[in-house]
Amino acid sequence: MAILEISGLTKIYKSTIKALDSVSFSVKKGEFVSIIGPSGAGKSTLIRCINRLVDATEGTILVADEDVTKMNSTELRRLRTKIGMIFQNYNLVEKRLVIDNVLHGRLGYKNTLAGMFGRYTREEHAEALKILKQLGLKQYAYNRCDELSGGQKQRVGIARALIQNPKIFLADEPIASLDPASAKLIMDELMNMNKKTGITCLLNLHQVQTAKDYSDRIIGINNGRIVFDGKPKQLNDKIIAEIYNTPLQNE
Amino acid sequence: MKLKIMQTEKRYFTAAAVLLIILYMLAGSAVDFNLGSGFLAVPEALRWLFCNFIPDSQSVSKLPHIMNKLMETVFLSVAAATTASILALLFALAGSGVTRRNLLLGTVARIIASISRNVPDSVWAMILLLSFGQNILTGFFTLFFVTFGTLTRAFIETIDETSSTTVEALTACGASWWQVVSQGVIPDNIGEIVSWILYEIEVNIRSSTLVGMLTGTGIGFLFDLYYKSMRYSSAGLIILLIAAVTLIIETTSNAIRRRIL
Repeated sequence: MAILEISGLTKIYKSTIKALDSVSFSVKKGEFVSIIGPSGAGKSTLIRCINRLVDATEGTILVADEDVTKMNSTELRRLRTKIGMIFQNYNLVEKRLVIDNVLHGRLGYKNTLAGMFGRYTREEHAEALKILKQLGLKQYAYNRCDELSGGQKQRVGIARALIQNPKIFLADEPIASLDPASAKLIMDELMNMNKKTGITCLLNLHQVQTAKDYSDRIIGINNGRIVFDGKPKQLNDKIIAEIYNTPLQNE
Repeated sequence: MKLKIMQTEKRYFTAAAVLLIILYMLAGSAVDFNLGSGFLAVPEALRWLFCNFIPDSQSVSKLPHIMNKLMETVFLSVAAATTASILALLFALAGSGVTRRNLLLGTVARIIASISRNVPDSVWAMILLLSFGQNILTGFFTLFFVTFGTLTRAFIETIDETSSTTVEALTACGASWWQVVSQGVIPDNIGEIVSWILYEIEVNIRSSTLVGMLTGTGIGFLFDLYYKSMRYSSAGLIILLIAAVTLIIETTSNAIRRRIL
């Protein structure tokens, strides 16, 4: 069963720059999919079109059979609560406490006033602490985010997405700013979450090897077009060279 | 080759220096200004200042009255800065590229702020004097408009700089615009915002002296009065007190800034 169906997705910036060129693919529930490709290939744009942080120019995006591109603002808010997202630079409110940042994941479920003044329920608090505990961050719950390391911040980002209780998990270069050890920890965490709870994961990745190690499926993008879509083991050197525009090395 | 580039650079500097000197001489001769005699007059001016502006017993007897007016000016500055900051924050949220909801509204907000910032406070004072008369409201609005313009621009800059990531993340969580602003943008920028408000209070106290002269309110008016009636010692006391108040406010606001940033 497809949870995400993208067809003919095109995005044109400033009426001339084509970031995405009729991209089509669908993702099954529970799949772990990585998108790879060179910088500027359109990976970030693609992922941001799914929760409408970027508006598509053409095409349809179905999330659980609902067309995202036609939603009004109320429907959009409801949709976004179902899609968790983490970012390369973590995108936390650095001057607030860790627990506040986790609870931000609940804002989409709250009415505007309760959300504005940060009035969360006892259950939401308990849930936030539970998730932080799972991610090994319980002792940092009441620290300010700017006191944490990069890997810890990314785990706060994951906690913020998890408390949304999402169906789809989007990640835009989640490990690009991390050292190898923290990167492995984050990838393990994502895979673990995917296997245990069956959340569909869609990741932009820079590192081909990481994509091969963790994904059920890899999509290669170059210049706004899909040039590869298949299992990690089908991804050979020739295809990698094609995705990254690099001449194949004769060894 | 490198030598040649260096020589050309040097020639540019020499040409610029010569040009500056020629400009100075032309402008100076046009208005009959002589740098030498200008500097020579400084010691004499300072001597006059120190002889006449030293507070004496007569001026000290005016102290309660002066303090009263001074407090009025301080409160006016604080009131103008705080009320203007609230409006400035709303305009900055509407005008910042990160938080604006509508390009047209954003541009209008930026233009209004730009006008109220670029009209000098003395001009505001004179315009408002016509509509409000010699009234404390004139002083208030003069400071208000200039502060509002400056703060809007400062707030836009800090929001643009720090908040794009937070806005993106909270929007992705499904938060509404007001939630994004109050849970993300304001916490992100509160240190900078408070710091700017404190700075504007300082600036307002300084400029309220001038504004007071023009609008006939506060300490500026009193200074003008003493000065024009040649009671220099009392005017001197006012200058000292204004300097003292500005120093106190500056020190306090620096202390607060260190704590919050």
